[in-house]
Amino acid sequence: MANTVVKTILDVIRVWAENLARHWGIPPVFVSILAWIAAFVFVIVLVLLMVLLAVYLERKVSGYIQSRLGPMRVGPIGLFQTPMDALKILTKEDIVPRDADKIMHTIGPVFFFVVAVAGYVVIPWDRGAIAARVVDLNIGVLLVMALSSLGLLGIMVGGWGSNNKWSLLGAMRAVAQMISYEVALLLAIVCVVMQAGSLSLAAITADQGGSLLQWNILRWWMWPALLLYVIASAAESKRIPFDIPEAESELVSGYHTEYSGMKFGFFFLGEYAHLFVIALIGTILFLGGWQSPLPGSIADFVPGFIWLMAKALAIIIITMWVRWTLPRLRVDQLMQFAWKGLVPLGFVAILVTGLAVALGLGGGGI
Amino acid sequence: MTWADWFDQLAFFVVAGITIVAAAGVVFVPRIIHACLCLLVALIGIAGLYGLMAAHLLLAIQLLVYAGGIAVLILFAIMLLHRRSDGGILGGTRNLIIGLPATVIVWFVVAAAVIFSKWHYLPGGGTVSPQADSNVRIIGELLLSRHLLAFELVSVVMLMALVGAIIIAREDRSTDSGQQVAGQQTGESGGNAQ
Repeated sequence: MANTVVKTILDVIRVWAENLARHWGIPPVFVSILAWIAAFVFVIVLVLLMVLLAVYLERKVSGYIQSRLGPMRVGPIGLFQTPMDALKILTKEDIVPRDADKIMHTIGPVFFFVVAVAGYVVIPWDRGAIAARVVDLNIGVLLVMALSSLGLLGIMVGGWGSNNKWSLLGAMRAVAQMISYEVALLLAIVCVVMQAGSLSLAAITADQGGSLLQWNILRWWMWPALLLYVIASAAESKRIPFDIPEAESELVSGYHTEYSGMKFGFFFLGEYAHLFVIALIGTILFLGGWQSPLPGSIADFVPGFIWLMAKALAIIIITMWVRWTLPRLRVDQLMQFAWKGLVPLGFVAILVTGLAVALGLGGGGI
Repeated sequence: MTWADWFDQLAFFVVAGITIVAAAGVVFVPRIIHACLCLLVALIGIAGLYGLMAAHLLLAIQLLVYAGGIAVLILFAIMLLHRRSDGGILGGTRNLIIGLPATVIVWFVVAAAVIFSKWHYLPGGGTVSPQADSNVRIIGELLLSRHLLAFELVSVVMLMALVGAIIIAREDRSTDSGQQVAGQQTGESGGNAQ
C-alpha cells in the first residue's frame, strides 16, 4: 500500500519533470542526466546524514555498554554533538608531513570516500527506486563488492604516502585482512545469488517476497552463508574484533595516523559509509530488503524505504554491540581464521545451498 | 545525430582520453609508485569503456580482478620492496635500444590482430539492448559448455602458479633453521623503520 504510494509520488514527479522539459524544449537525455544528478545528490545527503546518526549512535551505545551517558551537553540528549564535531573538523588545519608524498597523501582519502559512496547507486531503496537500474539488472551485488575492494587502494595510497611506519604497517595489515575476508564475503554472496538466480539486488529482494518466512535469514539452508556474511562483513568494515589495521595500542591509529582536518574526515566518512553499505547489503541479502515483514497487513502502511533503513540500523547497532563487547584479535589469528576457518565454511555453505536449490527448496532460476 | 548520441560520444572521448593519458603516464612517470597509480587509473578507465559498451559483467570483473586485485598486488609488492629514497626507474638510452624494436613489434602484432580478425557485428548497428536478459548467465553457460577446455586449462595453470609461489616462498624456511628466520625478520623490520 505505502509502497505504491511512494511509487506514485515518484511517478508524478517524473511525469511532471518530463512535461516541463518538453514544454521548455529540453532534450530528454538532459532530463535523464538531471535525474542522475538528483539521485547522486540524494545518495550523498543520505550517506552524510546516516554517518552523523551512526557516529551519535556509536557514542550512545558505547556509553550504555560502559555504564556512562555518552554525549549529553550539546542539544537535547546530546543530539547536536556530532553536527558540531563535523563543523569543527572543517575548521581544523590540514597538516601534511614534510617528507610525505603530497599527491598520494591527498588522493588516498578522497579515493576512499568516493569509492565507498559509489556503491550506493545500485541499492534498491524501494520498489523500483534504484539510481542505476540497468547496471543493477546485470551485476548489482557484484558491483558493490568490486567497489568495496577498490576502497583498499585508498587506504594503501594514503598509508604509503604518509611516509610513516605506523601508517605503512596499518595499510599493509588492512590490505592483507580485506583481501582475505573478501574471499569469504564473496563466497557468502554466491550462496544468496544461487538462491535468487540473479546478481541483481532488486531480484534478490523480490526472491524474498511474500512474507517473513521467505526471508533468507529464515531459510535454514542459508544459515552457513549468513554466519559467513556476518563474520566477514564485520572484518570488511575493520571494526573490533577485526580492527588490526588501526589497533591503537600497536599502531597509534594505523593508516590515518598522519591525517588531520578534512582529509581525516574523508577517511572517517568513508569508513562509516562503507559500514552503512555493508549493513544495507546484509539487509537486502538476508532480511528481505525494503519489504515489510507481513505484506497485506497493517505493516504495509510503512514505506519500504523506512523498512530498509530500520533493518539496516538494527544491523549497525548489532555491529556496535559486538565492537564494544569483544577484544581484538592478533594479526596471525586473524589470517588463520580467514583462510582455515571461513573459506572452508564458505565451500560448505555453497554445497548446502547448491543441494537445497537442486532439491527444489530454493526459488532460484538455476 | 541526436543529443543522446552526442552525449555518448562525449562520454567515450572523456573516458578514453583519461585512459590513454594514464597509460602514457605508466611509461613516462619517473617514480615507480606513481606509475603504478597511473596503471590503476588506466585499468579503471578501461572498466569505464566496458560500461559505455553496456558490458556490465566485464566492468565488474575488470574492477574486481584488475583494479581491486592485480593493481593492489603490484602496489603491495612495490611498497614492501621499494624504498621511498630510491631514485626513478627511467634508465638511459640503454633501455631504448631494446625497448623501441620490442614496442614496434608488439604494436604491429596487436594492430594486425585488430585489423585481420573477423568481428561479429551485432544486428541493429552494434548497439546492445540494455534491457536484454543479464549476460552473466550466457557467459557462464558458454564457459562451462563451449569453452570448457580453455576454462579448465586456465584453472590448472593458475593452480600451478599458486603451488609454484608457495614453493618459492617456502624454500628459505626449509633450509634455514627457525632462529635464523626470526633474526632475518627482525632485521627487516628494523630496516623498514628507518
